[in-house]
Amino acid sequence: MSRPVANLQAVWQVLLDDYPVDLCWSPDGRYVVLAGGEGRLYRVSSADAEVVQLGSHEPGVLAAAWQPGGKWLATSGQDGSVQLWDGTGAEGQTGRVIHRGLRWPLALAYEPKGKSLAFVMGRELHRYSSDGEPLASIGPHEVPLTQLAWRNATQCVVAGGGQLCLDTVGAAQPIETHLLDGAPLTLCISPDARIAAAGLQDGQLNFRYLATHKRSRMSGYDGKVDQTSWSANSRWLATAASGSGDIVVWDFSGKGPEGTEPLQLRTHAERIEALAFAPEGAWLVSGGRDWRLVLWRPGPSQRADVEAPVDVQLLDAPIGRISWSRDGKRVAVAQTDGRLRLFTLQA
Amino acid sequence: MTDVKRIPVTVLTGFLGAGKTTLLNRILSENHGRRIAVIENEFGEVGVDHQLVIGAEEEIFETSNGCICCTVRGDLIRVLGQLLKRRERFDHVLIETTGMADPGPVAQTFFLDDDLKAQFVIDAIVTLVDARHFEQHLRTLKEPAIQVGFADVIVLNKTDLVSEADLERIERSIRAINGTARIHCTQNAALPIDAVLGLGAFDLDRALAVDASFLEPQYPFEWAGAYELPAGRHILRAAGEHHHDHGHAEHDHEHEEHAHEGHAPEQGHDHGQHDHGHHDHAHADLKLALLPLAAATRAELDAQVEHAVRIFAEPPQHVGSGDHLAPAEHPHALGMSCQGGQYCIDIAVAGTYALFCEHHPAEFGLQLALAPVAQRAFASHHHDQDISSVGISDPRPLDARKVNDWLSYLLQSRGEDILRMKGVLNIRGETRRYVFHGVHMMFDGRPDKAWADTPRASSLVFIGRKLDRQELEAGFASCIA
Repeated sequence: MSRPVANLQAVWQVLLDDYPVDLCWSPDGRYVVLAGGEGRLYRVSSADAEVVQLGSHEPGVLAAAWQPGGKWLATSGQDGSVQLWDGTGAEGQTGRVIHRGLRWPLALAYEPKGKSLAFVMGRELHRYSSDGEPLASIGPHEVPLTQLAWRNATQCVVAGGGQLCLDTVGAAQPIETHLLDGAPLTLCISPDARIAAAGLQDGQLNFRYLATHKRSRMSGYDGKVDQTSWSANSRWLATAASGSGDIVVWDFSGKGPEGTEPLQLRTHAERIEALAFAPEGAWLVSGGRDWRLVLWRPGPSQRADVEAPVDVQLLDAPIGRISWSRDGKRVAVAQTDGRLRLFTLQA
Repeated sequence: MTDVKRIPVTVLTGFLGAGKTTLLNRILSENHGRRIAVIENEFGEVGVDHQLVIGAEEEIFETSNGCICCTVRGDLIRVLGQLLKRRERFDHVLIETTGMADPGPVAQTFFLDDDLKAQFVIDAIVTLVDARHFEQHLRTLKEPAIQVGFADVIVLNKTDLVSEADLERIERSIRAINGTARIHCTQNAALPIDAVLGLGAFDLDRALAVDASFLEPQYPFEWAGAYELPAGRHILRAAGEHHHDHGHAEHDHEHEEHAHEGHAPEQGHDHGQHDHGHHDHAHADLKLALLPLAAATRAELDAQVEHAVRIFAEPPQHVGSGDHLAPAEHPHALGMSCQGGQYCIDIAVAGTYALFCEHHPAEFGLQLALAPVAQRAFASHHHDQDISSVGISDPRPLDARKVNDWLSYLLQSRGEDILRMKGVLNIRGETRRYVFHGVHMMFDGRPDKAWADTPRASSLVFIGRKLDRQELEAGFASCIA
């Protein structure tokens, strides 16, 4: 197989008035939501780029998620609250505060089918029903939690400090606690639910096979490992660290990546701020401080071929966030100056 | 560093009850035109109407090499990283640490995390000290000395609750730990905001401000007084070691309060015994030298310093309470209990005499019936703390490579013990001053402005544990070009 030919085609762009902190799609692909560092929530129609400011979660958003299969948009903010918004509703809403505390709710995520919402605050994991009724809390954990990901319909993986825990719906305490080699900056679960990967503050990547408890450490990164993304087939884990513009891709096929040489994707001249595999297929998109938006397709092919970019576009500001539509055909790209762009994948 | 103007960060440390929250509320309520973001590690005390007050639990973690000098604060990295995601920037960040916090990891975070390093710069570490409880905390806990050692500014608060003599003694013990910090004495943490914010204490461009006396050679005595003594017997009275004003009604209560907090004394030096009548104290020797002076002037006292140093080098002669002493070429060691003692000074020939004391007389409530005609204090040399400051000042030019070797060695071998170091170096063949500072093993240094007309001299300060002045001086001397 030779080098794939594909590109990202620009569809529209709009300039929004905030710094992108989080970017998510409505499950039906009609809307993209940008949540900002100063709290503004913008909903943009993917078809015609119509902009609606749903409201504002002041003084700034920490995380945002749209309910799978539903209409609710959940945000957590620097005021210590978690709020719900009608994602399909009108502009100028006031968020419904479902929870408020003294600590920052740093991560939130809907259960994969959208039946409940989980978020971490301090040492607790809180679960709410999709329409905002409290269900249960799990904790306290031994460390303040900063990361959260659903493994399946009944289990969450949370992480913080030097720990990674498995929290199961129905249990009041974490059912398993494992050590990490440092403070996690990212946490992502392979789509086949087998492996949890965490990028760490001090230049390492930890991953843990959740069933066997086998753990591995990949070190040698330059800077903080703050970008991680799994390919849809759970074979590839793309990672990037703060000290360079290189993307390191580990191959989990066969016996796994331990002892193997990862793919090194080198095009960005500066740090990568966004890295996302498509939820379908094997396309990977990266965005950097160097204003470049790059399309990649790791394997299966000759190393030299897969290590070369498929498409490179120079935008007009550093890139802050990237989000794929659920069908894997469109990519929303938010620049740090507030410009939001939509691309379609032409492959 | 970068060309971007970095946002100054003030770190506020101090024990619970020292007045951090009072100071913080004062800063926030004052109309100073600054947009201040506050990160609180202690919760729920600051007025919540301030929009940028963020609660964050202290999260300390080690970087992979496991060295304690490379611990950083994950909470700060996260919160400050998030605050950068605004277009409208705040002008200043204030971090209020928990009472028991070690400022080391906080400071190191701003050296070790590249993102924070690029955007933020520590303005100053401000330590609040509760005048009423400081000495007790210093005796029983390790944190107060660390917090004082790291400080650029010390706010000695609640001074209205202690006597003047207590305050003087407390200031001296602070000075013994940290010879360079600016000390402000306050009540209700009332001081101008400019005394706390915008100091640029970590700014290499600022001249090194060091208490001049601190750079003096250190002497085996802290005080000298010149007296006109008629022939005959003079009674020298001592009220006892670490003379406290026992008239303070709260004294016992204070002790109890802390026992309840679980701050049990860790060492044999049990202050509790002090209050309960066990007066056989091992540390109650006070060395002094008595020698004739040509005149009762400061200049004459200065002229006799070398002589007094020689006397102090001799074996002391013990003098119990009620015993006699006279001018001699050896020091006298006054034995005393907690209740002090009295000693008879026999003067054969009327004249001027100097008394050189190992400790400041106020510490022992030491007094003669006659007041000294002239007196002077010396850089403190003696204290119970293992954290202290060493200052070196020397006009001789240094060899750049040797300095580099020496400082590298020092950071590697003593980095854990060195809390802070800073200095200006006179490098041979270099027209500019070389300035540096460090926190544990973190080091930042560069050539600065030209010497021009200012006299060229190196000046260095180290604050740390178990510092050996002779070793540091020898290391410095090895760098002379």
